[in-house]
Amino acid sequence: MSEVSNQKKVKRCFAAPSGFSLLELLTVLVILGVVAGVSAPAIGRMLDGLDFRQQVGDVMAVLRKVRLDAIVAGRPIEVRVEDNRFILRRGNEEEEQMDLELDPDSELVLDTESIIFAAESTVTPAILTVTQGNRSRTISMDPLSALPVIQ
Amino acid sequence: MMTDRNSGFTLFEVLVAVLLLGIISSMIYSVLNVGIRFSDQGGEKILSLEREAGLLSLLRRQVHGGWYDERQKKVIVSAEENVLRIVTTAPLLYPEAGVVAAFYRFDSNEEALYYQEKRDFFNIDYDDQYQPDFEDMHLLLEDAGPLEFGYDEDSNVVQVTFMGEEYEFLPWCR
Repeated sequence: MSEVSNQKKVKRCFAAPSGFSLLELLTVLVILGVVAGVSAPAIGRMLDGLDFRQQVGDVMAVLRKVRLDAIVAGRPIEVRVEDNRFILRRGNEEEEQMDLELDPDSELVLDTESIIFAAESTVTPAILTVTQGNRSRTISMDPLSALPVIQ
Repeated sequence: MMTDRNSGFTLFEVLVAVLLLGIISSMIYSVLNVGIRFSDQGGEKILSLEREAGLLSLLRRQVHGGWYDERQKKVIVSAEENVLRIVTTAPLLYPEAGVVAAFYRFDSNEEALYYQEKRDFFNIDYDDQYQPDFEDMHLLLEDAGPLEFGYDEDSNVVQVTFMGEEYEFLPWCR
């Protein structure tokens, strides 16, 4: 009986460790913490960049829609920019506001008084600038295709 | 039955696995990147084609809508190799103006086509010799390739050679 007990003790002492030691866990946690600390600002900037790109994409989508509206309706549509919103005027109809849902700290600037989309799929040349913090994107209106192009 | 042999991975095995994962990831990324690049090139090509079609459509509209001068009894149009001048009822820059003098000028060095419009089309300065400066014009089309304008006064035909093709446009009033 005592021989069996001794064999069990010996086996327990020399068996491979089944878990992690506290030192290993602490090392891994420290490494993870350092990696997270280094990458967190970069990930934050990346997410901000994605949000900004989405805002620019939304502005471009609205411009494409207005172009199609002008072609389908067969009459020109004039677009102005006021307080980060598009003001649309179709012929003699009342002006229509189009909210672009830009972030409050974003700004949309048009270099001309207005953009006029013609029914013939042309547009008056213009440059729109979307700015948020130190990010900025320039969208130019191509007069021949009436499409917005990111510069 | 349990043995004393270590059942985990060795450092070497883990390193090989990480290396293989890295190689496979970079291969997948490069394949995806090629796809994205082709997609971008396709988008640029479509835009380029739209611009070319847009230019021909604009020329056709402006020549077709050439303004008929009752005093001179003709449509005011003139052209030489790199310049086209026409008084038209189809403006591009000033749609509200109604009638404008439109000027096309091709820069053969840059292979770029520039455009200008004047609302005071009746100005006598805009004669057959008038050429606006490139600085005062709008860049209408880059990479416009070889582009030539011509005008036959007898038949009133405006000839445009664009991308190796010849096009003829005729004013509606003549």
